[in-house]
Amino acid sequence: MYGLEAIAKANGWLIAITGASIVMTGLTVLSLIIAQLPKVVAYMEKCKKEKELLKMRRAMEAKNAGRPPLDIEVLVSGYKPLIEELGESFDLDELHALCRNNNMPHAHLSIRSLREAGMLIPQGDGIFTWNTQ
Amino acid sequence: MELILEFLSNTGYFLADWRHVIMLIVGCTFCYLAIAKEYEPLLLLPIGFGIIIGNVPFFKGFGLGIYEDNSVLHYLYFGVTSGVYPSIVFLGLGAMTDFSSLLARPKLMLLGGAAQMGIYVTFLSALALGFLPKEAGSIAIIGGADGPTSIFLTAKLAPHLIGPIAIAAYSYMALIPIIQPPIMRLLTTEEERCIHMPDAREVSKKELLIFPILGVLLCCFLAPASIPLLGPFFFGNLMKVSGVVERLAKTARTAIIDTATIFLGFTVGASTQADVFLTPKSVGIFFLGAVAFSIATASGVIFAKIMNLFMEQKINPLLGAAGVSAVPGSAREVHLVGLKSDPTNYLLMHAMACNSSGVIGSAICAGILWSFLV
Repeated sequence: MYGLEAIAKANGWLIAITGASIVMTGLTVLSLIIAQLPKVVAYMEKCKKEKELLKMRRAMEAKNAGRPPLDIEVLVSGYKPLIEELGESFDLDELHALCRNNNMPHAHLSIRSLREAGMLIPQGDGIFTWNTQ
Repeated sequence: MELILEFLSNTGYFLADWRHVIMLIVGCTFCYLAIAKEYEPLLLLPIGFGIIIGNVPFFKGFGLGIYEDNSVLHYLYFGVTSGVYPSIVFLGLGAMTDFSSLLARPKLMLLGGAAQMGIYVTFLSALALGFLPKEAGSIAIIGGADGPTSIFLTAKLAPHLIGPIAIAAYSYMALIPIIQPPIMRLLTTEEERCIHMPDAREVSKKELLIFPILGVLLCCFLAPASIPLLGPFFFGNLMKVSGVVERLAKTARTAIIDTATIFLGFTVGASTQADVFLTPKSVGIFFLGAVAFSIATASGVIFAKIMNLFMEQKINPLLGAAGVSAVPGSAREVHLVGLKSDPTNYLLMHAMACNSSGVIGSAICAGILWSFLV
């Protein structure tokens, strides 16, 4: 048997169309999922960072209980992750906004203490850098 | 004197006929192409020498031939007929594949799927030419341009055709520089060939780690029959990207895949004995193999052009030709054709994305055909 008759007898059309549809569907779904992977990974990173910040904040609050809230070491460990988010140089307003968003306690007092301790170095025009030494 | 005559009558010189001579010439040609022209030498040299060994005439019944029980070649051939060697080759392939270009441009995965249409068109053509459904399925997978996949499926569906199908598949893979460029140039304009692809974003290690697990779950749940190929493939890739088993990954992509390739090529070549290979069916298989490759290339390019109708940022349609599974040959050809039109157009990494997708696509197709035709 040859030709279209042979194809029909072997269900060739059905096998070909179904097989092609399955492989295209599978790869399409895989590509759609892969396209969302960066968002999933970014979300996972964000959750991890929020957990770390929360842990840091709790550690700061625990250390600050019964202590003056201006312990420079505690402030440095608490504010360093926020500074890293802002980059090498940043506006003080940005730092204040970030502190508000992360519910940092006594933000104004803490930032003033960091400036006085030389951890926040002014570069002029309201721009500061973190003292890495 | 009688002893000498008896001995001479058992030598290959006495037992040879014109069919053996033809096959020996074919084997020598393959070796020449591999060594002198460097056409896919990793494949053609073992196959070519295997053809020479397999077509040395011998007195049957001494356990010498590849089809005789208890022969050394028969035991080595078990890895082909059982599908073990293709699985091992896929393990090594996974351990050497970098999916970052594919993860950076997921849309290119569709081109890998589109190029597999060559398989189904060839399936219909083979049926129309009078091949049985299982034989047609085995011939069709040549369109996937993947040697191990072709051998794997043929071993399951039509083991008597392993020789001609493997020879056809690997021959056409070696001839990609001749088959693909004219089709690419015919189906694209100069302007389309000059489309530059944007630089791919950086892909994080987490994405590279998640992908093989996602891939194996999705693809193997969809087509469980592709587990023997895609399971080792994604496992090899996971070993590579995890970074914690670098020794195992290195072994998989060097010693293990090389060993499997040697035995696979050698025994497949040896299985192409003249009485098995020189048949009208083999001519049909070679013709259909060319059809399969051509349609696979064309369907990938055409699909890319169709995608461009709906996309703001156009894809270079040449990338569609890299959707076949012939890694890295077809990616290289796409890159070279692109460079001819625009010497500043580097398409290689984008073409590799389509190539990697083609490997996955052809393995899924093999699983689908196996489950439909078994």
